Amino acid sequence: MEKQLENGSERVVLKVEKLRIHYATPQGDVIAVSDISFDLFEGETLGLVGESGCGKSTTAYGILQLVQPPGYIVNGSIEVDGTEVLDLGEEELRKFRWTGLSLIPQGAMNSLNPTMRIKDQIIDVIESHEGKQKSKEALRDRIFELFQNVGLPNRIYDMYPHELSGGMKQRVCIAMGVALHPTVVIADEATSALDVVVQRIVAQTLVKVKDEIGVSLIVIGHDMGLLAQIVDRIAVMYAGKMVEIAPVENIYAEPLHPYTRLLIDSIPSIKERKPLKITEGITHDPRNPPSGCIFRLRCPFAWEHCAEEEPEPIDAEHKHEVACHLYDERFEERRANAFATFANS
Amino acid sequence: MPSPLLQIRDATKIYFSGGFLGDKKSVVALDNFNMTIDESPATITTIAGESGSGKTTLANLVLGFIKLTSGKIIFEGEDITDMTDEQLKEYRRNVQAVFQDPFGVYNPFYRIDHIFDLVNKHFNLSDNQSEYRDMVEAGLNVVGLYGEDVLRKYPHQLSGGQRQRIMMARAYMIKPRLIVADEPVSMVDASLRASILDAMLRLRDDHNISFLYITHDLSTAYQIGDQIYMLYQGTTAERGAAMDVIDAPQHPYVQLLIDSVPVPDPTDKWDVDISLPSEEEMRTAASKGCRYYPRCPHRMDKCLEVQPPLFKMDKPKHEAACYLYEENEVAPIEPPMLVNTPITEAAVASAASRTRERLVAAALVVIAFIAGVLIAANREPEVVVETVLEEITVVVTATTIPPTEPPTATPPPAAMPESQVIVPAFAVEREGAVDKGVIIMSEDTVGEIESADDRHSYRIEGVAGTTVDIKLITGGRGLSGTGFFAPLATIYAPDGGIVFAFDRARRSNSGTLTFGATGTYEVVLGADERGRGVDAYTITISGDAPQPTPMPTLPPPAFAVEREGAVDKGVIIMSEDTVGEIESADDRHSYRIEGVAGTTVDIKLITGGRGLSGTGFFAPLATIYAPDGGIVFAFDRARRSNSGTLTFGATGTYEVVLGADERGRGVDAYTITMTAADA
Repeated sequence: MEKQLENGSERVVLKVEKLRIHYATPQGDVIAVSDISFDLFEGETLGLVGESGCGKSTTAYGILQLVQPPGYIVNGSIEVDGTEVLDLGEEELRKFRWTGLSLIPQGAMNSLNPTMRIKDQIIDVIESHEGKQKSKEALRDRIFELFQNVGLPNRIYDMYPHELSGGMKQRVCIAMGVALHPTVVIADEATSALDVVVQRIVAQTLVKVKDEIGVSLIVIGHDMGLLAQIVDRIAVMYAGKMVEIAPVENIYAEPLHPYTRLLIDSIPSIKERKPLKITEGITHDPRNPPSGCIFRLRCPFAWEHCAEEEPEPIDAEHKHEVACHLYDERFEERRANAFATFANS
Repeated sequence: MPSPLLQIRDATKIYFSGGFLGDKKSVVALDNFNMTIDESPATITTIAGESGSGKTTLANLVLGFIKLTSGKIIFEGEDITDMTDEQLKEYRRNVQAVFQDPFGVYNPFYRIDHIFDLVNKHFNLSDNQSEYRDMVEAGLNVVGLYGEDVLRKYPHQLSGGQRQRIMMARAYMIKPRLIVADEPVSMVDASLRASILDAMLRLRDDHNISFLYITHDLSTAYQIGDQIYMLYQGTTAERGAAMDVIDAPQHPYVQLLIDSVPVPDPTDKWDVDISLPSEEEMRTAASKGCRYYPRCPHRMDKCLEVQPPLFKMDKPKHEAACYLYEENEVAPIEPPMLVNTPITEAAVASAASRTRERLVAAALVVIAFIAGVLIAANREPEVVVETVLEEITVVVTATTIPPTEPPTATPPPAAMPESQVIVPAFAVEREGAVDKGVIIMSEDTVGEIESADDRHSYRIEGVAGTTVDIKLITGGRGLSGTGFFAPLATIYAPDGGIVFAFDRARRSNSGTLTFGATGTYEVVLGADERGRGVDAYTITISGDAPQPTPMPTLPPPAFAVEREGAVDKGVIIMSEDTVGEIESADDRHSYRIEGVAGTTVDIKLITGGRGLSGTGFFAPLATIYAPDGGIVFAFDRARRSNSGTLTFGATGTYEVVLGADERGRGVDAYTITMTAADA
């Protein structure tokens, strides 16, 4: 997969710029997503990771124009293959979903219509965009091909969702998500409710289908282990901000942002027993974020400057961006000292 | 040999089904399971496995929520099924629980300190306020928290990790010997899990509290677990020291499982694609032999004949149930160590001094006598005579015969003044279903829906074009927080087609149905597709019926309340801490409110059950009676939080009654909120 990044297309299929989403509450707006920007390249899988409430799902729903009130998009730009999604009208947007952008939702097993047969749900997706299909046989063959892509047996064609196991339903949702060969598919915690073996099967299916059909994929999750297995790049979010984005090998080998270090350090291993690293969750009031760096209240390296200036993303290495003052040229000495002290403690 | 704290011997739990003439079907949730947890040093024993492996069944058995089909669970030498009330109380103090959902166990209306106050009242920890405060502080410190940071906060102001640690602190204050922790970290973010695991380690190491740690997450088990049991479909596939098993798994299933745990290293990726046989093949093929046969890459003919026993592996106590290792020695199962009851000791002591022949005769007389006494006392004797060389041991175990539960009478439909009755666009035909504009189909189905063949079926009359709101709430088997036992509920149209199917993955579900044709629709409720039944359910169907003429002006508020403690400011809040007050079926809290015909109120009930119940197990009955005595609103007992809408049919005094549930179990706290809906 990394080959695609190195040799493959550098064409940007999704460009998100300065996306900002708020939730209105009686006590004031909660900033769910705070001016985040990133690119998704053709054929790549991007992981979006962070703890509950960091804004990763809200970002996905923002891209899909599915933010529900009291949430609303304050500003930003979302371009898919040159189309500005925010400028689309209701009808255009309806057509654009599934063909330009599609979603495999969180807990996808609960999002199938229990009263419709599997075939009818997939036919519905196809016909609502491409109109009534003339040949029933061709339509059926097309669905069988989708089943084959996601590893489902043809016998489920006539079944109802309740006749399938959780993993199978999840794969039906993947089949629906890719049925119209969209440019971008967003999988929101698509495997988190599954047993470990089934999770592996579904995750592998997702990657395989992505390669076969040639879509670009955003995988939202909180399981750093699973993401390491299936994505090409990782974007780390903390309290509505994107703090680091890098190729997956780099981020696990050398995480730059202190929060990313914390995330990677807190993955429990099944290879070696390590002392537990104890941390609390997001601790500030989301209506009233701290000045300067969003992470400074939990950061072991924070100093006065972090309260004064908000860090901008710095291109630390090729394709490896981090929003942390430690990587600012002005503070190079401090960085060396900070890490040395930390390693000793 | 260290003395055992908890011994589980040949524990089998079967969910039976089928009529007494029809085919008996059964689901074996736990099959001849054996486990020993030593008294000291305290340990963390992990029970791991996928959904349906029996791990939650095991937790429910140890917590006493469900009973074994056969086998024994022995705690500190006493069989828990034979315990007296006094011993049971002590057992509940010694065995505490922490559940999966860090929010569900909290009453959102109370600050955190309320939880500790309840513990103090219930277990009577200290009468002295300052001593009690010190105990709370000490408990919080053990789990890495401080009273001033958390005690005055509401549950929603804390992180999931903090909420779970508070449950640990609460359990710690009771000084249990064992905590059953059922997926305590699975709903908490990865970066916050460490704090919970750390609290478990501290309780184990500094306070000698053992854990039964139920999880599907092998990495946390690896980090903190001492022993691990890997369950597969109710049997132990492999067990041993957690590090030995996870470092070098021997059973083919455990090997696949551990290989499938995603490694957080992009340079070490999964190399093989795997697939599973169909659900049907996995469930039916191996009723006799190894349960893993349908999926196993190493399967042999032998595996189909007899279930493999646990064979010894290289490391001490590391055992795997697989014929790949049949060259190895079979691991022995230690006999259970029972402390005999005093009555048995007396019988044995008097018998032991005699000669062998006389002894048998005397013993039989004693047995007959004891048996007679027990029968008179409505107890069922079970007599075991064991001959061991020159000695005869007589063991008499008494089992209390459970009293037959009186059938619950169905409340008759309320007779409301005719002009006020909201005529439903449908009618219902089944005993037990109550119809008053809202159809409520609600039953306690323990023992009734147990297998795929058991069904409850209702007929309702649908009028084409009418729309109804449907809501299904079920109480599953025991504490399953997973919705795993949620049943199938389906509505069939007059032509037999399915027009509505409830989703089984959730415990509560709702939807809207527009009747396509006029005729008789059938609502069928049955076990889930794995043949697992349900303990209780409520299906509510409310119609889009002609509305009664609204009152021209509504005096605000349209109701008033008459009971101390209830506050009325447009919103009536009936909220009480009821520890010691609603304890049995006879205890009641009752409120009177004034309802004005045609006015609609939104009602919400939240209850805090007895301590550890995260299950809604102890949820109380709350009922609203009309001025004429008819029931106009009944809360569902299977959930801790419930809401609904009530339109007063007549003007007059309505009574809101809150009491213990039908098993006579009370409630620790409740809040009923009524808000006037806008006219």
